[in-house]
Amino acid sequence: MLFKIAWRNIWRNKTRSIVILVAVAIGLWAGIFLMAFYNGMIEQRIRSAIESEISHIQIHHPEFRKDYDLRFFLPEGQSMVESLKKEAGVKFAGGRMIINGMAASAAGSAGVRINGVTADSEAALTKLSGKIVSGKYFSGEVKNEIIVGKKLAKKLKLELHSKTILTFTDHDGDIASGAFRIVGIYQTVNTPYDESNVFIRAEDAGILAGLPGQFNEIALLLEKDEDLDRVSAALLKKYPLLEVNNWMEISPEMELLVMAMDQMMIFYMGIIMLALAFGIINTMLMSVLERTREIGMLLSLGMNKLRIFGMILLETVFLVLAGCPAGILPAMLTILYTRKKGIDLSIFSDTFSSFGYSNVVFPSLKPGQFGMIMLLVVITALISALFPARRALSLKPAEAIRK
Amino acid sequence: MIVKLTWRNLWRNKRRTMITMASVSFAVVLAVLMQSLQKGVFDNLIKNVVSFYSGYLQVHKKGYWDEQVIENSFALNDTLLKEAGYVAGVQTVVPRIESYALASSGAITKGCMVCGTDPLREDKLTQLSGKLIKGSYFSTEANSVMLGAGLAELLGLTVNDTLVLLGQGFQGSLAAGKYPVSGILRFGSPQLNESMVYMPISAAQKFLGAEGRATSLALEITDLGMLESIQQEMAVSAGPLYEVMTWKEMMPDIENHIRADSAGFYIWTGILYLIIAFGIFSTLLMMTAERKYEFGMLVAIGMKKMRLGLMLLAETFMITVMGTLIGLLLGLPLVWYFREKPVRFSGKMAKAYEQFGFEPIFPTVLEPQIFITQALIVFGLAFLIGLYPVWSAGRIDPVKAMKK
Amino acid sequence: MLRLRFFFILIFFLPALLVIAQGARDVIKKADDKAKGKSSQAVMTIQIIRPSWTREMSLKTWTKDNDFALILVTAPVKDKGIVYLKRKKEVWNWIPAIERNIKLPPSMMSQSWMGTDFTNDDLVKEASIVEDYNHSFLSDAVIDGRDCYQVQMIPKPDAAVVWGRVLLWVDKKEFIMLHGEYFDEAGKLINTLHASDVKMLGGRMLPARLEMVPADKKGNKTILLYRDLVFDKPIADELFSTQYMSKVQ
Repeated sequence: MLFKIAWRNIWRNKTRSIVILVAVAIGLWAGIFLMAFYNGMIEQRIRSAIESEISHIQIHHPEFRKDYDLRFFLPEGQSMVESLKKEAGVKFAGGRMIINGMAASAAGSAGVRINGVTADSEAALTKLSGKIVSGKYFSGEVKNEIIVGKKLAKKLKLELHSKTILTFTDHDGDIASGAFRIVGIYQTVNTPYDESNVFIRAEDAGILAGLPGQFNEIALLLEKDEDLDRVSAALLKKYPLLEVNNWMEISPEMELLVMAMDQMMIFYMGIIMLALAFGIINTMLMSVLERTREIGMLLSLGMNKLRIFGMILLETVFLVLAGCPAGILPAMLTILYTRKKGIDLSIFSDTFSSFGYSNVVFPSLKPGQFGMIMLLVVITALISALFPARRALSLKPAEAIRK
Repeated sequence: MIVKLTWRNLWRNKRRTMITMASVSFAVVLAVLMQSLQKGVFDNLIKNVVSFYSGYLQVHKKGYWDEQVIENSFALNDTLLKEAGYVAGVQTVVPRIESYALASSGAITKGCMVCGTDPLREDKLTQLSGKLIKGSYFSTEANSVMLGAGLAELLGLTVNDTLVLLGQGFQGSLAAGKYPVSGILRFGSPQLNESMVYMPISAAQKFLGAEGRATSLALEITDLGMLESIQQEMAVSAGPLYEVMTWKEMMPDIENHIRADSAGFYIWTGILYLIIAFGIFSTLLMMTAERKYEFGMLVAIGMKKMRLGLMLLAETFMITVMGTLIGLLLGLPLVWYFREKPVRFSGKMAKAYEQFGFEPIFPTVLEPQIFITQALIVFGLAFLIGLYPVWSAGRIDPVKAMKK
Repeated sequence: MLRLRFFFILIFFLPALLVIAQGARDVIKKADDKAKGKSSQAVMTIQIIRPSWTREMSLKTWTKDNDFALILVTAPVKDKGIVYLKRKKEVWNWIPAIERNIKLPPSMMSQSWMGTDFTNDDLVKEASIVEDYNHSFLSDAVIDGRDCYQVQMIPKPDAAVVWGRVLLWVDKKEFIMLHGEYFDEAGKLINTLHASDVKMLGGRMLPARLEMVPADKKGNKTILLYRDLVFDKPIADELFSTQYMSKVQ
């Protein structure tokens, strides 16, 4: 019986009903979209770090990362890379010989990290070839090719085909040096990185270091992010003596960034929900006020307070439930649309684009979050409706009728 | 006359008016809170970043930043220090002498960054003493050094061991010295952790053969908004032989990261306004619906629609103004509270933050500009929405309206 | 008659022919060997001149073959007793003030040596002007009243030298390197080395004054003055050891 009354009440006052419906719909749409947007932002950061810098997993000799001492290389690096390529879940694998040393030109010298990379693997792992702004990627045409960052090239006054001398302490503790020719100049978002990282072929690095054909770092890119833990565990088992790190361990700053963004999102969602709640409370209050006469009538006819409360509550529930699809549908559509096209943030910040940082955010939603938002909005709406409903109860029938 | 009428109208139905006003007030409070929080978090981030090492501004000899060698140091005189301190907004001035050097212990040698500084002032700027994990903080009298934990580990040194430093001194002299380690520091940034050696400035000057000289003055300021004006004033006061740089110029990457982040927040704010606007709208909608009868009556007895519209306009105006003012009054203590007692988060997140040397808080800022801007925006929004009842009154059909 | 004429012409022109046949590389090698000898001991002064200050140091040096060198600073007092030891590709530094012997890592190699316009690297790399370049003659010139060959040196592709091109002027009679110009790969002059005050040193005609001027730093130069030089006196290998560094006089 209560249901019927509640249902009819909804239709009786179309304006009010529509208002609540739309409020819920907007709340849902906003909540879902915002969450997706934020997800997209975080994902974009992580993706960019994983796909162009740190990869998903890195493997080293356990002592290597302390001081990058060349003595601690990976035994059988080549065969390891081959077998890792075939490992389940691994998309790309590549070996590197990393050496800390100096780069010098006639104009000066600078401390650099010499990344000896496997040319084709590296292109796949970190899109190095894509970062090149001048010249070209390793091609094997010239001996001792080197690719340097734009900032370093500027500092040492190097151009394409310039010569730079790399010096470092080799495997036996002696000073080794070699002349390298610039074949390409790269640029990334991160200028300090550009200033201190140079790339040569792993083969050339190994020869100079006295460790021909060896690697001291292996990086892996996985097919799916979700496989991270599984693959890490499998590798730890397979190579118990080696250090296997995932991207969060290699780059704790990234992990911090992600957590920080998550936290902020929760906070802002809270504020948005609050705004929604106020909106609904106000509307419902107004509505209750408007229905004073009607409620007073019902009370005087003998309907008990609890039932009136229940009636108002039911009306709200119906409206909220109706509002859900009304909110979810546009939300999904918006997400689908922006997902394809992406949201270009460069209108807000033009400095962004000067970095080659992707300005475009692709909102996306994880299934769990979707349900969470729905729950949040529904609960907010219901609670917001409760307050005015209680007020309705405190109306005195006699006064109410007279209104 | 209109004012009186409007006022009476409004108070005739207290509840209705209150509810409408409340929607505007809440809108103001939320908008103010959101913006204050946003700015507060960013400012705090900047504060954390600059107190890592650089300070908000630095003064160097002109050309030092491009070529950071000891030859580009300047003579540290009291006048410069004093003048820097007098510039309005500058809270602390830290004189430093910095140089790349070689740290050695036993057979291990590693490059390091020697920072000779004033222990007390440095502490004010970077909370250096708080980073101490072993031993004791250095003092001006002692000749001892403090190392980053990463560096100490690499060299196999701990408190009371001896550190050997070797490097390029001033005017071509050789810089060499042995120093006892008084303390070990842990920095959030791995780079600092693995390369910093702190010494009292006089000991460092002696080491580098650069007595009475400094490479930079690092400044701490009270109000981030004054950054550029302080820079200008300092540049004038120091003269053409010096360069004054802000943290933005010294760390352009971080500045860009922060700016990039804030771009996303525009969207958040936009959505908040949307929801707020809707809240106000729905309230007004209900109000209009409720008063349909009243309006119909007024028109039926001869009130010109235009007059009715004007009357409603006046009502809207009053409600909006009052609502905004109340919102501001409510917002003030709220924002102030969150500035004094910011939200502290804990758990894994907090640990990660602290590891980096960041405070795990979300503070707000109390800035009149934010209050004014937000108030104006909400006011504008509310007023625009408030035109709806006016418009609907214009379309009223008295007969239909009174049919209730 | 014709045969006799021919014979005379040959005798006259023979020395000239011999000189032309001498390759540019040989010229450089001869000059290099003359300046170094199998071993040497020297007493010298280095002056560092800058726009706003100058500094003077006195040194004693010992070299053996191209692999070993020992440098002892004897003045000023602040730096007295500092020793640099080069063993093949290693450079060691003994500092009495801290009583430590430190092996210089690569990061220090490109730092200036004792504040001069030479780098630590220059101490190690000296030996390669013969091996690491391709030599050829350019037109002769007169430097300080002496006839000189002008030799152009282009680094071999694999050579670990930063220069793009080096020009050396070598005195034809005494095979002394009188002037050197060092260019980067773009052809810009980076360093100029000028030798003068040629006199008898250790039984050979050698310049007693070497001046190094960097092109882009106005008012900077480093001057080496040889006060005493002895060649090919046998030096024990033990002198060039890290243990001996603290005892060198």
